[in-house]
Amino acid sequence: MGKREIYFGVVLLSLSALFFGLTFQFPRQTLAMSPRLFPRAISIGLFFLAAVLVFQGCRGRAKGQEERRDQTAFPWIRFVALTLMAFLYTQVLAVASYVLTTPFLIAGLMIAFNEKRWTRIVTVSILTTGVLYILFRMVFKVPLPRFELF
Amino acid sequence: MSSFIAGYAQVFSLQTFPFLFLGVAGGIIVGALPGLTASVGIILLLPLTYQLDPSTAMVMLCGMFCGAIYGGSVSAILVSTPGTPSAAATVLDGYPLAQKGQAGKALGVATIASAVGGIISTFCLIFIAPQLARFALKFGPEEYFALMVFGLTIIGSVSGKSLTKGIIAGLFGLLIATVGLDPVTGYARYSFNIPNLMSGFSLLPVLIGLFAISEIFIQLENIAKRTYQQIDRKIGNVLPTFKEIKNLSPVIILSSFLGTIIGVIPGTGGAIAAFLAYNEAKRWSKDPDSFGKGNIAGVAAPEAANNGTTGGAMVPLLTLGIPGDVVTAVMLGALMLVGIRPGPMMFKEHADVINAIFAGMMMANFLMLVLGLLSVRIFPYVLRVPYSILFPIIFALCFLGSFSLNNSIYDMAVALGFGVLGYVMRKNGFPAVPIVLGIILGPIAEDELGHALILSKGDWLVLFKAPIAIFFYGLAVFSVVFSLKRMKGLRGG
Repeated sequence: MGKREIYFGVVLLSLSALFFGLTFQFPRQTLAMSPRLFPRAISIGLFFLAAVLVFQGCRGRAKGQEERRDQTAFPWIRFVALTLMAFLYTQVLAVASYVLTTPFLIAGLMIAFNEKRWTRIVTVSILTTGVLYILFRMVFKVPLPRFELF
Repeated sequence: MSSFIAGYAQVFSLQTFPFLFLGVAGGIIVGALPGLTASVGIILLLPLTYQLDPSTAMVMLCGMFCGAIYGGSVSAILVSTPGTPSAAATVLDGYPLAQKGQAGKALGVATIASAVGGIISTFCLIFIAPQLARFALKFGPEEYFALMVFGLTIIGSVSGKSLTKGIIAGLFGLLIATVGLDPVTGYARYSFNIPNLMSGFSLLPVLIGLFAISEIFIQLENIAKRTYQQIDRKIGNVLPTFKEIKNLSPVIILSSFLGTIIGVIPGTGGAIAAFLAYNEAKRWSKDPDSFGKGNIAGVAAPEAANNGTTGGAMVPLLTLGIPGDVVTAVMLGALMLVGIRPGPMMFKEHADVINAIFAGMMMANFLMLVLGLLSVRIFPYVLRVPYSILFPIIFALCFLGSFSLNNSIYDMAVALGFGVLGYVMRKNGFPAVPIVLGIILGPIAEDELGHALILSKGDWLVLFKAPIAIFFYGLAVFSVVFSLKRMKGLRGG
């Protein structure tokens, strides 16, 4: 227990306070139970436990019990790239169609996972797009996004 | 008897059997691959469940459950890495056996023990569940609310190393579940007049994000450390001799029952059952010193026990609507997704689904036995699939799966968001399962509480008047105390 617990605790304290504060916009008791009741009870519980977490973090730091974290460098670039790729995919999918965007998503993911062989990247991207298209569009009859630009 | 026959007729139909096969075969592969668990396997199949009738969907998921729990033994034996947490105990003697050139025998015994464990636990499920459901039919909203409180205290049991973080995750899940329409009054909470938020967060994208996508992020971190395992173990003879089977029978049968009992207890799971069975097998063995060095009973016991939990864990899930372990917590979500609320009413209103699940679990274990023994020699090739191909495919499948629910890009974004959130939380010691429990059980608890208060005209004391409700509150207190003691024991070492 250490610094991270303190940071998480502070974030959770703020979040629970925010959720509690927002309940004042909900109507008062309507039937036997108000829409405010459950969110308030949960927010109070979360606030209390977040305070406990902060306390545990402070106590851990004071005792020098900071947990040893894995020293391997966190792959920030890969993580951010993967998240951004996926987010961009959701934004572009509806406009540019499933067939055009998905191979690029899969190719990007394979590169993020350290795949270096371009033949494999291209083959797997296109094949996977095709198989998933057949599965969802033709077998499950799920309408996939089509090209919208023209 | 006619209902059993109807269940088997459904399972063997052309409509259902291919999906049972898919579930079992897919489960064995998923379980064999380290980094993928039974929960992830079930989540990968969830988008398919929308296209199937509930009976077929549940049979397929049960197949995945049984197959994946067994599949974990493959990598445990061949590369000393359990494919699923349930197979952790199998490494202890399975890998030494493989090192001695007896990988085939270890895999063969693991397959047979897993099948026997699963079959015995399914028999127990078939006989216990209807009796418990009959009892649970007497429950009113007060009893259901108390049951949900007990279900939520299970959070402590699945909290890993930190009870505080586990409960925080559970409360976080409860808070997320309050976004959207209040189940009692219909008021849209925390929606900020955004139409998408008025219906809250759909369960499927949340499950996909918290389990599958967050796992992929974790594997991304591990990819830098991973070395490509050359699996050159000779498989050799797979089937054990008759004498070996005869000697192992008491261990297998007793471990199966132990696993079933452990599985029935909510919040436990295959890993606990496997280690308990291993310890007991070692304790009662004539040669305990040989355990850990390649004693075949050290493979048979944990494998029988971990598959023994499959039927046991389905008992509280189907009869009371509370999950027996991590995987059944995800199955609970799956049942909600197909429009079935598990509990005693399921035995009345969806008896066809219940019969199909019973028959499906039984046939899944037989199918697992056959497939496992036939495909032992191709397992080393399965383990060679590069992760740079596997995980991008899984990511794309998950993403498209979350889209397919409502044909909604918003759901894909929800899955991604919960994937990032789940990753950050898991990396910092906050388990994902309590979040799911909070999301699923929270609205049910609130709904039942509302009904109880409406019927009693606002009298809160009604919650504490029913004896069954008091019994569940007592169980909840016991569950919390037990979790606290367990955490203390874990920290004390």
